[in-house]
Amino acid sequence: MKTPKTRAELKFFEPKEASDFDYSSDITDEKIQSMDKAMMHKSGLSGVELHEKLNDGILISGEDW
Amino acid sequence: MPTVLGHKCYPVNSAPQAYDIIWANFPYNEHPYTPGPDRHPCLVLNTKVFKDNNTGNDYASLQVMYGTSKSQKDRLKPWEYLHIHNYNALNQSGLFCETYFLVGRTQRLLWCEEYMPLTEHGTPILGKIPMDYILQLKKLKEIRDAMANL
Repeated sequence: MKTPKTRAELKFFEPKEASDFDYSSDITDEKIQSMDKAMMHKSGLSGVELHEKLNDGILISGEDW
Repeated sequence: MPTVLGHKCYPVNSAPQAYDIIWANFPYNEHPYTPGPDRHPCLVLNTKVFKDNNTGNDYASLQVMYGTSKSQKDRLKPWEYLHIHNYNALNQSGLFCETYFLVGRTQRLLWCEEYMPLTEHGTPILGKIPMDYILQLKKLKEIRDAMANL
């Protein structure tokens, strides 16, 4: 199984090729909920438990919104 | 690749940093185990790291703001979205067309394979927004916080 490149290996500012993916559709509440449900479903955690598992870590970049 | 919380989590050292742009695939409700075809660019707001108590594995989560190429000018107030549109900014961000990131639509996601599959570039990370847009984003946050306290 492949793993992502480490940050040191990334080369930004390279021209990107046009993508076949269309992201013109709007983000809907249903899509957000589907991602939430998917993570809960697969982790076997409740919404509250998952929230704790995703939020209580050590902030290494950026600021809380 | 360690499995954490049921997901194949990427190594922490490959995690995006704040203000990176990534792709995320949204699953359908009917198929929560598989990434859906609906791929959206997301702006990373922050990254947190954790240690799973059960396995001892490290993992990362990202708070992201969703992006769409659908114009929001007629739907939202100017302080409710970050509009990335000029050529240099799009190129540095790795975006293909002008994109609106919605201040009101943020969520925290696991840094994992299922919903952020690798692209042909070997990472779901596309690029990073330029400094002037980072400053715009910070201003939007200040406005949002100020309005919340009204």
